[in-house]
Amino acid sequence: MKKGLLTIFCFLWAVCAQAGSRQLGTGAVMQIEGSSGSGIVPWATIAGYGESDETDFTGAYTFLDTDDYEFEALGVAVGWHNRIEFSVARQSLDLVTLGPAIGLPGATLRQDVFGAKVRIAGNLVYTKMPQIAFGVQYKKNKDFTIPGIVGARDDSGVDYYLSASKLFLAKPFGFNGFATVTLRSTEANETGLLGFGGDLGSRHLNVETSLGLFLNSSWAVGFDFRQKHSNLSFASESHWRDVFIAWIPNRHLSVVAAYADIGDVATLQDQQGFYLSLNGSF
Amino acid sequence: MTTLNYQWIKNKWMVAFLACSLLAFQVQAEDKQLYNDLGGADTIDAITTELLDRILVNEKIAFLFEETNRQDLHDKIVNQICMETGGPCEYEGLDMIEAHSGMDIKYSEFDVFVSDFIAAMEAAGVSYRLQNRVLAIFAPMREDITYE
Ligand code: HEM
Repeated sequence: MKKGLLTIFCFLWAVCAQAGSRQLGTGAVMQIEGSSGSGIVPWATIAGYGESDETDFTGAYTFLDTDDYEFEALGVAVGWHNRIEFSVARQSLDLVTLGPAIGLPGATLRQDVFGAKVRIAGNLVYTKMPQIAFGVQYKKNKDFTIPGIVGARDDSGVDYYLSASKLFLAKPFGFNGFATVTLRSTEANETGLLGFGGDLGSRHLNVETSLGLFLNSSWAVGFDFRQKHSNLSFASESHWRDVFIAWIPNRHLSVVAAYADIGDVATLQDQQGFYLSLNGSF
Repeated sequence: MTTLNYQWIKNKWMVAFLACSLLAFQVQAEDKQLYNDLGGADTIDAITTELLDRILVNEKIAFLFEETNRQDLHDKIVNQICMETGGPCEYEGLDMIEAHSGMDIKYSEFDVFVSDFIAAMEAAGVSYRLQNRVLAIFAPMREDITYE
């Protein structure tokens, strides 16, 4: 199955080897919910490298392994004319420790995320004002048994976010810095994998940020921060953060390695681990 | 609960800090030293030669230069880069709006040009950080040069 996907991907690559013309790195990468951004934060960027007369497709596979969880995300996105982005992602969280403990070995939480984003104003690189975009992520649980038991109210929800991103040419010290601030309104518990809403409340406004630096044209380092709120009294949520290094050898490939700290998740404390994400674009 | 409040205060500080650094970054300081740092006239001449070697044959934009006199454009671009980087030159060509009006240059064509420009600087031996300082000067011209 995976081999088949890989073959199809390589084929598409060969056929559509024409990626868009935006500068290297400006397509960002696919974040865990399928939107263009960095590891855990959606940016104002539109997926791929397409400019106002081009359309690009991207696909990504992401993996995070903490002590007690295995997280996976597979997503595809299309960026139309550097204006509108549509994305679909499947997330799954393998409850490596919790499953057996609650008598459900092999238990996995899964959800689908359908995303749309529109660039409202500005350009990441060329305008003085940041690039600004508005996005939505509709999330739908595939498995609601466990979220239901722990008190989640809904098996689906919508996140809305407003994001501003900017690349700073030659700043600081001649390197190109980049920054994003995203405001997200969400009802999701642990991004939605534990359902939506709960006994403590539902919708919250969260701040997410991403800050980094291109070391040269194909290597970037940075960090992400994502604020979270708790809706479920059975276990409180932690803010998430990660430090990342990205390798972008060309407009078709990018690889992100990160160390993520997602804190306490569903009563299990201090979850940290390595994150790896492979992105293809054509 | 107290920990949550405390975290929120920390976040506010973080956002304030970010906002301030964004603003600080936006202040444009003129880069007068750049001409010398680049290596002066020789480097600029080399960059321009490499740039024209690329854009005049790049199938995506070459058609725009069909009528172009290479030597003439070379001299104008050399003068412009020299002046913009703080060198002892006076650019006397058309301004960027006039020079490119009526060509309907698209954003994607501008980006193709920029990619060639980066490749030209690379070929002329300009370091990554100096390349970025040059780009920081020319990038804001996009809206004048393109028609979108
Ligand atoms: C920052 C980017 C650019 C700079 C600094 C620049 C600079 C110049 C300069 C100095 C001239 C000469 C003006 C004169 O005749 O007095 C010129 C002309 C021209 N430029 Fe640009 N340009 C840029 C981007 C572009 C792009 C993206 C295209 C097309 C894809 C383009 C196409 C042309 C053409 C066709 C001419 C006319 C050449 C001729 O005389 O026949 N330029 N440009």
